[in-house]
Amino acid sequence: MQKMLGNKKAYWIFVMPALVIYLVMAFIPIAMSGYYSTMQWDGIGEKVFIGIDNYLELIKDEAFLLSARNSLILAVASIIGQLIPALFFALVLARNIKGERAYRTIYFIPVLLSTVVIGQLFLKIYNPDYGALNAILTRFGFDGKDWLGDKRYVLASSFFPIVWQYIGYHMLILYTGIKSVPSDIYEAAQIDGANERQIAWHVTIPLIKSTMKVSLTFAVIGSLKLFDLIWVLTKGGPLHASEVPSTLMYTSIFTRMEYGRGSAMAIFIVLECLLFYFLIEKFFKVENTTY
Amino acid sequence: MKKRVLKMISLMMAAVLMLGCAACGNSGEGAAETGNGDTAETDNEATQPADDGEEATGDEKVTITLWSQFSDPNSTDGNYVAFYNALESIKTDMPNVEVVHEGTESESYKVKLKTAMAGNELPDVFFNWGAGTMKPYVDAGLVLPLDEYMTDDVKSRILGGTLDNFIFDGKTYGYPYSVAVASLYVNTELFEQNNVKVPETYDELLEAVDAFNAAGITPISLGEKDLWPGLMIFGIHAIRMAGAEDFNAALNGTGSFDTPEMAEAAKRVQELAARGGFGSSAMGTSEDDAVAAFKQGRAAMMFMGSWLNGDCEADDAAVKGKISVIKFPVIEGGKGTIDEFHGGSGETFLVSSSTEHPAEAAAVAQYICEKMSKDQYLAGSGMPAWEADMGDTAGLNRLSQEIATLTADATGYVYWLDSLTGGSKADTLMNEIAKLIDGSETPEDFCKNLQALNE
Repeated sequence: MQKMLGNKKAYWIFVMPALVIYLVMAFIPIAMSGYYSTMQWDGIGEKVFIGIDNYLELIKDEAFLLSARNSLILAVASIIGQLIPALFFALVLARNIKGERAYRTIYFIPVLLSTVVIGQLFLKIYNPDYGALNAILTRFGFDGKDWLGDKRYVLASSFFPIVWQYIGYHMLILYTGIKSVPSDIYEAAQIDGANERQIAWHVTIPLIKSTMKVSLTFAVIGSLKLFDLIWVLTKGGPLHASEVPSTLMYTSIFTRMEYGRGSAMAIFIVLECLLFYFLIEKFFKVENTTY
Repeated sequence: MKKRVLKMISLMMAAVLMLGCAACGNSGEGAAETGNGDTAETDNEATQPADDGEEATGDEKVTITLWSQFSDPNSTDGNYVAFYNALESIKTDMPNVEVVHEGTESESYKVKLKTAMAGNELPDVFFNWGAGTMKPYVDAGLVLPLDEYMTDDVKSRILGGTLDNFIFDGKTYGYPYSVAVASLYVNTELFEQNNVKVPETYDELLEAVDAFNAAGITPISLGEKDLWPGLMIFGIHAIRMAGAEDFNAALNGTGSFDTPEMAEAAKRVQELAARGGFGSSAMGTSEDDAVAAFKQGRAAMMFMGSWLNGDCEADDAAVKGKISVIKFPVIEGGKGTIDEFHGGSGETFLVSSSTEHPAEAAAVAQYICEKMSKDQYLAGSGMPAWEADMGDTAGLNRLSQEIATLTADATGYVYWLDSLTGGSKADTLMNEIAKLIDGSETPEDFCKNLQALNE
C-alpha cells in the first residue's frame, strides 16, 4: 500500500477515469458555454463576437432579474421549509423509536418518485376545475383559486412541491449524521441529567454541524439551479411569474434561438452556485468531528 | 454502528445515482428504443424483398435517413396515420431506396434538430415548419433547393398557394402536404340546451359568452399556458380587423402593427378575455386540458386548427357528432371579410444540403408529401395540398368535409403566427399576446411592442 501511494504513475491511472469523465461531462461544457456567452449566435449561422454584451443585457433584463429573485426566494424557502422539518424528523427518528425503519422509508418516498410524476400529481391537485385542493377549499366555504395560472399564487404553488419533495432527502442525510454520533456521548449526557430536548440542542446539533453544512449546500445549490419541476408545472409562466434562471435559459436557447444569451445565463448560474458554495464554506466553518 | 452508517450512506448515494440514471435513461433510451425498434422493423421488412431484387437486378440500394416529429406509429392523429401509411408504401413504390426513419416527439424534435444543425449532423430528409422557422436554416445554407427536381408535371399537381411558405429568394425548398385551417368549433348540444344562438356576428359571439358564463360553462376553451393557442385567437381577430393582406404585411415587416385596426383587434381580444370569454383559468390551462375540456363537453366553443377534427369525432369523445364548425364571425368596422382564414400550408419535409444522395432524398420527400396530402385529408386532419383522386369520401371525417365547404371560397390566408415569424420574434409575440389576454398590457403598448419587432 505504502509503495503504491508513493508511485506517481499509479495515482494517474486511478484518477484518470474519473478525471476524464469530469472533464468531458462538466468542465468542457462549462468552458464552451463561457465561450458561446461572448457571442451573438442563433445556434446555426455565424457567430459574432460581442464581448460581455450578453451579460450587460442580462443585468438590464427585467425577466431575468425576476427569475434570479425567484431562485433566491426558493433558496430561502428551501432552507426554512426543508432543513428545519428534516432536522426535526431526523432527531425524532434517531431516538430508536418504534417503527423507525418504516417512518424512514415513508419520508424518503417523495425523493424516490420521479420529478415528472410529482409534477403531474400536483398539476392534478392544483387544477382549478377538478383539483383536490379547490374541492377541499370549496367544501369548507372558501373560494377556489387558479393556483398555477394566477401570477399572485403561482410562486408559492410551484415552490411547495419542490420544497416538500426533498424533506425526506435531507432527513436521511441528517439522520445518518446523528446515527454516527457514538452512543457513549449520549449516555454521558444522560448521566449528567440532561433531558431529551437538551441533548438534542446541546449535544446532537453541535456534533452534526458538518452534516448540516452538506444539507445546507445541497438545498441552496439545488434551488439555484432548479429546472425540472418548474418546467413540468408552469414552464415559467404565466407571464414569466414563476421563471427561474434555468427555465429562462432553456427558452432563450431552444425557443428564441439566442445561444449566446442563454449561455450567459448558464454561466451566471454556475457562478452563482459557486459563490453561494464559498459563502456557506466561509460562514459555516466547522471542524470535522472524528470519533 | 459506524459500519452500518457507512453502509446506509453508500446505499443512499447509490440509490440517488441509480435514480438519476434511471430517470435520464428512461426518456432517452425509451425514445431511442422505440425509434430503433421502428427502424429495425422497417429494415427487416424493407430489406427482405429488396434483397432478392438486388440479387436479381444488381441495383445498388440507397439508404435515406429520415427524421420526423411523428413519433408514435399507433397515434390516431390524421397526420401520423398518413405519415406511417406513406412510410409503409414507399417500400414497394420506391424499391431502390431504403428509408430509415427516426421519430421524436414534437418538442424534443425541435431541440434535437437544432442540436443536429449546430453539429452538422442532419439526416438526409427531415420534417420542418415553413416560413420564419425555416429561414435561418435556408440562410445558413443547410437545406437544398428543390427547384431542379420540381418539374412542371409535379408543379401542376401541387395546389396553388401551398408553396408560399417554402419559397425564399425565388427558390423552393419544400413540398407541401396539407392545408390546415382554423375555424370556430361549436358544441351544438350546449348551444341548444342553453338556448343560445350559434353566433353569426361578433355581437352574438359576445352574447353567447355571457350566456355560457351565466350557466357556468367555459365559453371558449383556451390553453394559454402553452402560449401558442393565444396566437390563434389574436390572429383571427387581427385578420377580421385589418384583413389578411395588411396583417401579412405587418407580420413580414413591410406593413405596420401600429394601426388603428390592429389596436382595435388587440382591444377586442382583451375585452373578450376580461368578459370571461376564455373562462376563469385560461392562463393556467394547457392545450391538452383545453382540448379535453372541449371534448368532454365542458366548454362550448374552441377556435382551433383542423387537427382538432380527429379529437372531436374520436370514439371516446363525449361530444362526438355534436360538434359543428363555423367561420369566425366578422367584426363590425373591420376590413377583413368572412372568407379570410387563419392557417395554410406550412409543414414539409426538407432535404439537407449535405446529403450524399440529393436526387433520391428529394424523391423521398416528394413521395411522402404527395402521399400524405391525400391520406391526411382522408384521415380527417387537413385539406389536401396536391391534386388527387380522392375516391370514395363517404367515410371521411364529417368536420373535414364541413371545413372543405367553408373554405371553398377563401379569399386570403394568414399562416400560423409562430411558424411565420420564428425564433425570438415568435416568442416575443406569444408573450405579448399572453400579457394582452391577462390584462397586464394596454392594446396601444401591445401594438407598439409588436411594431418594435419590425424595426
